[in-house]
Amino acid sequence: MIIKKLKKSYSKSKYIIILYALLFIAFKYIFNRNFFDVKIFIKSFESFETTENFPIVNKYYESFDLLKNNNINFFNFTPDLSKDVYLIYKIIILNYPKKFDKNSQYFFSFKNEEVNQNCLVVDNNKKHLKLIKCQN
Amino acid sequence: MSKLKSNNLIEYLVIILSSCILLNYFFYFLFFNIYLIKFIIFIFFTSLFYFMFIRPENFYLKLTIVFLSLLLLGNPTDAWDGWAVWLFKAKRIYTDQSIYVFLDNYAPFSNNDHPLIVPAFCSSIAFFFGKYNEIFPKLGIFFLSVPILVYSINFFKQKWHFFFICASLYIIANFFINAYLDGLIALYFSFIFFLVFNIFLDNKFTSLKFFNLFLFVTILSLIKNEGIVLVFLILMQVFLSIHFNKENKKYEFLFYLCFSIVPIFFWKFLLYKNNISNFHFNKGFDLFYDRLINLGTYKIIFYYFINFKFLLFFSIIIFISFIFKNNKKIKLSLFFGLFYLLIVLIVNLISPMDFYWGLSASFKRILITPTYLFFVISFYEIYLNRKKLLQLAYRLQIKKLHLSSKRRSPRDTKA
Repeated sequence: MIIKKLKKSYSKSKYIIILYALLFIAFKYIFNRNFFDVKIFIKSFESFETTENFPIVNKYYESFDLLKNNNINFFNFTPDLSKDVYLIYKIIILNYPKKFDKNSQYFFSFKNEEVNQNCLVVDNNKKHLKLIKCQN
Repeated sequence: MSKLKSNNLIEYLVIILSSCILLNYFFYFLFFNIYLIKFIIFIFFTSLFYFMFIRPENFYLKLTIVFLSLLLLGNPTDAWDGWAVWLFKAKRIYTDQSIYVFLDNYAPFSNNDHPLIVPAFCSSIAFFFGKYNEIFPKLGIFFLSVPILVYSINFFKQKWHFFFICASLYIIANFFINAYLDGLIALYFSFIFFLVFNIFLDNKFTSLKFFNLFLFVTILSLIKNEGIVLVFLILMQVFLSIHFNKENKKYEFLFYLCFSIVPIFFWKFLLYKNNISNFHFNKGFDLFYDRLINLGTYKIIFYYFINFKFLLFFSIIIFISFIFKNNKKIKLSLFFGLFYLLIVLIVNLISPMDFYWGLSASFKRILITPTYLFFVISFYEIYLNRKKLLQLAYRLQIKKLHLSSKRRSPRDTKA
């Protein structure tokens, strides 16, 4: 009787071990398809978008300071910058509630981009981006 | 008796979780109040913690929920739709404290015509913690899948359910946490499809089950535009299931289920009033006819259909359809799975996007829905007929033994 019970419990636990092995394989499968970073995990509940301390750093972060330091609520993009769709979408999303406006006089442009005669450089203190003011 | 009680407990728990998700969305429309939103999220978290820490069973599911939540919190939001559409919408709701803000059609690249239940839930989580970033509000997307995962406990025995969760993890994989909503769509659609069969074709109707079905269909219709198409397929499936059922013809429940699409019609009416249209239908059918006669179109479609998971589960369901002949559930799921793909292809053919680019960006994600549907229905059929299958395997084994003993016997006699 006891041997029978032991046999039963052994066969049950055998299945459960196999299933847990399958579960951990599935976990590993998902883990391998992601970009998990411990630094991001530790800071996942911080309001990081406005700081440069967060592990994800990109040139679009500069746009936030450019608008904030110059007290500007509406912005536009130069034609060269507009070609980089990823960058302009990221700038629009990061700076919300400050909005993109086609009629705005303030333009974001690349640092090395030439400036028109009608335009004035407002802020040039960043690595990748600068802020210019153009008259329509 | 205790099992019955435990089943009912899960039913009530899932009703609370789903109701929180829906109430959160409705409160944004009716009267926005931060404290009310925080209270709803508090109830949601309390119910979730109750499931996680007080009930001792289903450890594997709890482990899965914890693992996916931790993985989600350590991942950057790299998926385009994740940051440019869903989390941007969540940020707009959080910043402006209103759901009507989308009617200005600002930043049309974020598809302002999409329904908002997911961004609303994400922003509520941000309200709950009193801050916003691009990482933790994604928890809202994952938590929307929890009611389905928890409810599935009621339909399979422990080991079978364990395997069901493992397979779901393999099929949906990183779509649980990468801020795309296609995993959610697949999960809700396939489970609703299964629930409809369970209620209307297998005569396992209970009012609680139907109420849960109603809540799930409402949530599915509000996830994204594909969800609306899938809800219409579900309504067709309900009609056919009731029609095929010879014992109980409960057509009145189809009528009740139609009320689940009222919230999405209200949202679409608001969009229509504010001239916000869908990007895919901006240019009418001009491109559709050109693409339809072009041979290159079919080459591209064939190329994207070669997907390992899709082909695997498609062949499994075809194989099962040969074992269980005249099985309406398998036939219907095959029909609806392929019909959904056809609708998606037609939308891609109409869309002003470059056809190749459009398919490359979305088709792999879209294939998850029929793949998961084929898995869920074939798994359910195997589970229901497991005793018959065992008997069949047993008979085959006996036949084999019989044959081998016949072959052996002349030699044995010689010896």
